[in-house]
Amino acid sequence: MAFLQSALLFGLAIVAIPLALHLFMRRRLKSLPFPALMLLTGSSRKSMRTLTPRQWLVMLLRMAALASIVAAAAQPVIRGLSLPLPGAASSTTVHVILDNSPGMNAKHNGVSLFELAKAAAEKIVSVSSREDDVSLELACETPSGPLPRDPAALSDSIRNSTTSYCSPDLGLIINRAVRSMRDVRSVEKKIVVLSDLRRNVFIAPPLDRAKGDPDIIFVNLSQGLKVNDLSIAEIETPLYPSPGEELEICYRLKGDAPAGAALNVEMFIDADKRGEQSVLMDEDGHAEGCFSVTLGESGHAAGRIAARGDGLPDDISKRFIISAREKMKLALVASKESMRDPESGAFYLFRGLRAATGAGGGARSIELSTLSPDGVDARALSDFDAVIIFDPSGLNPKGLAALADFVSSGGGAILTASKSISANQAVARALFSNSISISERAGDSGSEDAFLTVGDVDSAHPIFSALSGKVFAAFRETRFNPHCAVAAVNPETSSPAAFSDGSPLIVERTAQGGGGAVFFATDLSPASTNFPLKTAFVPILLLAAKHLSDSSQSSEYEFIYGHRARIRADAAGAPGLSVLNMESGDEFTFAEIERGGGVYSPESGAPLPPGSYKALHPDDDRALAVFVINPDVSYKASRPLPLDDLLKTYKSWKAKSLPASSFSGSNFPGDIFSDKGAALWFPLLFLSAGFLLIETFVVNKR
Amino acid sequence: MPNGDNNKTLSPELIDKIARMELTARTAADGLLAGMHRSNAKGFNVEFLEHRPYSPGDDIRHIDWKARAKSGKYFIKLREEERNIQAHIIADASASMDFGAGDSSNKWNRCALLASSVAYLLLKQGDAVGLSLAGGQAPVSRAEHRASRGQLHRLISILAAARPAGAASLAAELAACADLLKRRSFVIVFSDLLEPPEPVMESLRALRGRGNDATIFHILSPEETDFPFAKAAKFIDPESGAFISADPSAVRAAYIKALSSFTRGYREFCARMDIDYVSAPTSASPEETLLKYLESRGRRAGR
Repeated sequence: MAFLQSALLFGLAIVAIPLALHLFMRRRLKSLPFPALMLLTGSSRKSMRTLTPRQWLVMLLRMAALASIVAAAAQPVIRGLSLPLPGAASSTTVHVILDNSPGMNAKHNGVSLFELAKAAAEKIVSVSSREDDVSLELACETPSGPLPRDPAALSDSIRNSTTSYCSPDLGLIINRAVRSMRDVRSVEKKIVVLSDLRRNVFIAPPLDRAKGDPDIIFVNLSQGLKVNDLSIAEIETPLYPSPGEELEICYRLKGDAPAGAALNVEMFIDADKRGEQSVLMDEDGHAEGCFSVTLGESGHAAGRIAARGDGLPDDISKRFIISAREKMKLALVASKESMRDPESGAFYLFRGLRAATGAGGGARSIELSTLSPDGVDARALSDFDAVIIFDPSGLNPKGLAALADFVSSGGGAILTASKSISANQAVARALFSNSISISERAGDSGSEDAFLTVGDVDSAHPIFSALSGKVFAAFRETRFNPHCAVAAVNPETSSPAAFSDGSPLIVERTAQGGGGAVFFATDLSPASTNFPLKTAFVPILLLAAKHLSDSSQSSEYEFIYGHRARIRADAAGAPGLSVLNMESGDEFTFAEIERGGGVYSPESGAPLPPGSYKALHPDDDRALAVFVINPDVSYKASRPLPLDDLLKTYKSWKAKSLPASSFSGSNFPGDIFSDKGAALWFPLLFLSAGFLLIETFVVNKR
Repeated sequence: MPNGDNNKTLSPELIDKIARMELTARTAADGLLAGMHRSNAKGFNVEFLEHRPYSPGDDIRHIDWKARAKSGKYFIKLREEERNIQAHIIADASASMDFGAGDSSNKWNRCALLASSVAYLLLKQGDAVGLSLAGGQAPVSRAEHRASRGQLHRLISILAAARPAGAASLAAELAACADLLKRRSFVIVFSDLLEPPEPVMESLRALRGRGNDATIFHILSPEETDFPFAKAAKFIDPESGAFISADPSAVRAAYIKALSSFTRGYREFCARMDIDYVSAPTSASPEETLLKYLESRGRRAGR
């Protein structure tokens, strides 16, 4: 038996009232002198035996009457019993959450998972009885109003529903459904999640279960699929794109698709398909390729690369963003001799930078120039955003002082170590204010054992975070034989990368007024390191230059899809977020955004989780769809939960998993509508009246 | 009276109470006597006669010559000594007698009034009357047998000054009385008899065995005879302090039955022992009770 208003059962405490009154009245019996007690004693033995049970009977009848009234108010129902009793509430309330994300387009035995899910939803509607209440919610649709509850109309809605591009937070949707069902008076309340449960995120943790919360049935539609774990592991985009530049966007697939499986890979920029190609999975479960695309004049593009294939869900895709910054003027400070000498690191540095930045192309976003070390002065530096100084030993004191002023005024300086320890120490004094100490490295620098590899690296640091996996791996394989050892002596200096012995490989100091300096604790000669030969060499130096020259800009969460818009939030994560429509130039601020059909209120300091959003203009009906795919934000709960973990997470809600096959044919799961019930409040009221009548006319009759 | 002064000196209130009691007793008794001339003397002044064969040495003045003339034999005529009888009143002053709503219904008040009235009647015909209290608190609880004019006042003073209290044993008082009485006497008991009946009956049997005449006035209040209580209550025995919590509606029938059995037991015992049993409920008037008693006494004397 269940109670629809179980909270009212606390009212059962009032059944103690007759007992309390009985005990109270017993204690307050009037005392009467009675001399003939000896004659009363003889009769009282019998009377006391009859008196007490009678009083107890009266009391029990009154208690039973009160208990019946309270129980009736709590609206008890008996499961599995269908009686034509008046006042019976609807037997079962079922809320169906239909996952219409692209992954549901995956086919199983020739039928897409979404079709299976729709069939299951329709079956739920058709099997429900008149007393049941079935509602439907599409996971990838912001509810514009209540969906129809009439079974025929609901079936039409299900049939007409399609998949939609989104990444729904099923946890949030479940939470919202739970909240809305808490006040529903029904025998049984259930939420049925029809989903492949593969790539859905469960960001919102389950609500604390309260009495009256529904049970959850997860219908795992992906069960039986051959390919369950295929993803686009990586997309490589140009580090420093320029407007109008033809770019190469490369991808790498990884997963358990069988070798030789043909996959169709598509590239979209905004909502438009801009490329399509076919790749074959190799024996290691990899496939890769590249698309060429010309960046528009705006310098911004957001897109995704999606893989399709037999048995693959549609949401095997990965988004990317390309954003060209304003033209950066970069100077390489090195002597002409060193740039021509293959034994010098400057040779590789100059050529690498020139190739990467397209120096001489004119329209590229990086304008590369060269400066001789003795030409470094304040006037010369004022023309640049950042400088890369190969071997600071060529700098005179005047140049060093000018460089320090350049950094203080917002410029960026990247320096590589000189073989001259004193020159390095001069850099430490001038640019790092002695916050680092530089000494000669001890040991036999000529032996093979003296070579160090890369140790701990802060991969989230802007110097490394944009590197592709391959490039980053190449950096990790770099070997060094440094002449000097750097030690950071105060917290103003950070070390984003270290050698394998733990000493800093890169140290960074950010100036108060913007700008900063990065010092590589190694010289770049081929005798000392193979770093200039690595693919990571130029990107790391360019990213360092970009990072230092960008440090004065405010942090942004900027990602666009569907519409060209930019979401800004200040670094502190203040709740007021602004959207800039980059095509119209309109900018407005909003405090709340709709996300996955729910409302997301950014908390102070909390990053905006990746996902699809709909920003609402505060003054009119304008809305803007925005995808946030900020790769800098790691949001732990945004990864899909394995089914077992999912069931454990929702254990308190009696969550269970049913295979999709249980919804086909005559094997329709009885779990959903098996708990028919009959309301018992009406008979209970009769019962309580009966108790009172018996007490009045039978027990108390004299 | 139950709340009378416990001092040995007579307070004005007590004197007034005694005077009123005496007057009431006299009025009640005189009223009765006005219509009871024949039966009056018969009850209390009976001349006892007996014959026995003459033996040498007997005083020839006692020979009944009329009998000699009729039978031709000599009989000595033994004659009851010509004197007043000795009466002894036992008034139950135990705490159980202090019961009954109002002065007229109070059992002790009724006991004192009936005892005074009977004493008056006895004294008026010249009998010596004594008194003893069973239980109670009183400056004086016993009065010797006298027939003087002031004896009535003395007896009433004792009754007026007494206050029912404590537990009394009527059986013990009757036994003591039996030992105390030197000559055959008329013992009149005023009590509610609310104590185990067997010892009381045993004492009465012993009293009768010594040739004493006896009368019992059984005094009960309407509360005791009818048990009219309605609400559940805690009924407390004023003598022992024992109590029973009971719903009257549930125990009434059983109680009435027990009371009936109790009184029937006494009636039957008294009938067997030739003792006058007089039911004296406080609901009846004292005159009615006394009249009933005297009629009954007269019928017995006539037999």
